[in-house]
Amino acid sequence: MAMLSLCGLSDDTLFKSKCELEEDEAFETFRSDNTVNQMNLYSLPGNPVENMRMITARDTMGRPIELNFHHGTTTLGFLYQGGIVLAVDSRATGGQYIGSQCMKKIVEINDFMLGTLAGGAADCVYWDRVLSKQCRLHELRNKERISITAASKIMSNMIYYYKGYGLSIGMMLAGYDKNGPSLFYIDNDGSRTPGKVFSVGSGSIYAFGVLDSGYKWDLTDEEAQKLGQRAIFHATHRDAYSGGIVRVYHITKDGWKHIKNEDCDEIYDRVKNEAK
Amino acid sequence: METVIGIKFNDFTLIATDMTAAHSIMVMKDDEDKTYNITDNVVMGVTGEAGDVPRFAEYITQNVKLYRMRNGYDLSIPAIATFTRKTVAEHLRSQSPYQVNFMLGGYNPTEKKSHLYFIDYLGAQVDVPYGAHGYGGMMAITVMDRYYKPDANYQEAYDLLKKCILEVQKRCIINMPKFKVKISYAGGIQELPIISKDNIEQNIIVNVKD
Amino acid sequence: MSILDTNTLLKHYTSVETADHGKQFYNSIKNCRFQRRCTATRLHSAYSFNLKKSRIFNLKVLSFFHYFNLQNLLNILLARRYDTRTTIFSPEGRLYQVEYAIEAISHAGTCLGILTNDGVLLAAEKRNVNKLLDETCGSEKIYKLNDDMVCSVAGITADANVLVSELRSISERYRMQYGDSIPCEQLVSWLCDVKQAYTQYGGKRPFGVSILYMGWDSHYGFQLYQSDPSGNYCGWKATCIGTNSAAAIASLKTEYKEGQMTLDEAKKLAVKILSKTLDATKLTADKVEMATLKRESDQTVTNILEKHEVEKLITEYEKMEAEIAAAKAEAKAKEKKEKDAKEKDQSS
Repeated sequence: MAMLSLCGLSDDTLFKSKCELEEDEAFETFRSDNTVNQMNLYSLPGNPVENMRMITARDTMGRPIELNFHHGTTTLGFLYQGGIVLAVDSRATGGQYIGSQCMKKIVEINDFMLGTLAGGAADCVYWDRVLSKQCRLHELRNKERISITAASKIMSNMIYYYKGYGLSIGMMLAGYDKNGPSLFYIDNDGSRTPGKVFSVGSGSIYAFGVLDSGYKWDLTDEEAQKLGQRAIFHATHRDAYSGGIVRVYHITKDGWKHIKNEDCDEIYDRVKNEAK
Repeated sequence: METVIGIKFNDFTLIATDMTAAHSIMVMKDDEDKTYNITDNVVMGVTGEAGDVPRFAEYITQNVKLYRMRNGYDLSIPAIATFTRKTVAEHLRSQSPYQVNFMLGGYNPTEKKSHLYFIDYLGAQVDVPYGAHGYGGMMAITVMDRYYKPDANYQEAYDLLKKCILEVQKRCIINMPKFKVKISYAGGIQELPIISKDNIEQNIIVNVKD
Repeated sequence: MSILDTNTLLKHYTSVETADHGKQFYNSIKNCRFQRRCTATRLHSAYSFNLKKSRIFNLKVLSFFHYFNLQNLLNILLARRYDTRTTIFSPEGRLYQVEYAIEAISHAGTCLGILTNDGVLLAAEKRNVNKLLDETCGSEKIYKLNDDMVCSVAGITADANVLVSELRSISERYRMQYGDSIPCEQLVSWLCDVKQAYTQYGGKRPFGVSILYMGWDSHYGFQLYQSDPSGNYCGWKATCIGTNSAAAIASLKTEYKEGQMTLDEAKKLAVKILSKTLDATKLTADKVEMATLKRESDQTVTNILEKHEVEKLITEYEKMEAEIAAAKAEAKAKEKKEKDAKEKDQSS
């Protein structure tokens, strides 16, 4: 089983029929509930914490498997001598369907902190909003901006509380506080880890290729911003679930700054004839 | 997936963990610290599900600290092991069992004895001279079966660990380039040089402060 | 105005009908140089007298006292309010029920504990001596708690049984959690939390039990603790609870040799002190229970002494006492002789 996940095959691809069976069963009960009360027609089951479990499949140990949302995204962030660069794409997908080409996948939590979204859009946006609230409250209570470490811990605590309930979140939290710049990776497993270079989402494998080969600590600001953009661009080129606009942000001791938005088609035209 | 190795010698204990943090097929980090200092002389190498590992290790650490604050003395090493096992076992049949495996070891300077415990996510707890978790552990364990001697000095012990890791890196499909090594001895806990693919062929001299 | 006798006072304040009157009355006697206490006593007697006369009097008096600000007097009058329930402080800040519980123990069978270099000793006075008693039911006052601890109880035996079973549970719970014997002080402390709770939460009566604990742990070696119904506990080198405990502690203070005691000496000392403090004229083996705790080859050994062993100790003690008495008598006789001789010399 570990080998399967090593190869990127999740259990439910193997046991799909069984899962579908269970999901169908679960939905059947909702449907019949809905016919009893017309007002509830196809609404989400009352209490998601209690009822989401009913529509998730179970693994061999009987534990619920996470809902398999498509992580159609590429986001990246890295720390270097001049601060932190975050770059993201802007495509929102639902399966094969492109829902939006101009989604904003970087959330401005405060003037010194940014979060990136990957995973279920609803989960990400909602929990980022909760995080923003918590950070603002912290600021009001303590008369100083929250540290990135603390904010990331709040976020991972909230997510960990709902572990196994089907949340789908893979985010980076980046910012500048009194300890300098820091970058955290947080996901719905509950893991939270600081690091220098991260990329999250379905296109991350492609982005890493460009990012890792071009990354070094001593990059200039311009090089760093270009590297971020380039890495996302190449990911959008190969990953069907990523695309649209490449957005680049830069964080320094003066807070975050939006560097540029550029359509990946335009980048393609600009870049194709450039010397390697 | 991950590997943790523990070896107990007469007057010290070694714990080594790999330093990769992987998510699905990708390595996210190669400098992750999976060792936790529980007390001044007890160190725990932890592997398992992302998220569970730091949370559980912190839970144990803070509870052991709380015990110290309440009573003015530390829990003994066997007591920490039992407490860890008990906590895992209590959560095993709950909604959210902790998927964590431990090698818990340390040296007790007052009774002049070293301890090593193998604890897995099912709550099994075994007092062992050496042990390991994960795929890498299977490859390392026979190396220790063959070369382990309880009265080794620091250098011999470190070299034995290197032998294990060399085998892991040679035979295991999973890439584990770096291992963090910690020693618990009469002087407390000390970090030894990281064993990595780059330096494993070289001679590393171990300096342990007395 | 001068109010010097009760009758005048009485006349004045029986006319107090409302709070306003009370205030007036207060102002009128404020200048009076009576000591507060004196006034209070007089008012009290007046109050008792009036209690029979009027039902509304209580109200009147209260409003009066409110202005008079003689809280002390209220205390005297209303003391009974504060000793019926454990959870209520009296105005002096005391918990009467808890104090009564502690008082109850001073009538219970004596328990004695002595800490020595090579072990600990507990000795207890058995009250329940009857020829017809089946002794297979075990000891009355001394209980083994776990491998490393033994306790002896003084107070209400029924309460003690509950506490002893709680103690055993606590100690096993610890073993479940940590796979180790519970350190002595922690066990005492946990139980004292239970005892304390019963002095605080509503509707409960405190446990009428004091306990002596002896034990060994790897942190602090041999230990002796005492806990009382309030939930307080303390470590001791030697102590005593129950009847005549004050006298026993006093003689322990003089007889205890700091840092030099051995278990054998402690046994003798215990017999000596018990024979002095017990009401009975003569100490007998069936009135005494004794237990020792020591370490043998890294193992704690607890032992409740057999009847014949206690008997031996008592006869030894009596023999020694007799010898001392004889020696004393002899010395006295000798002294007298010398004195006589001296007198004779002088007279001659």
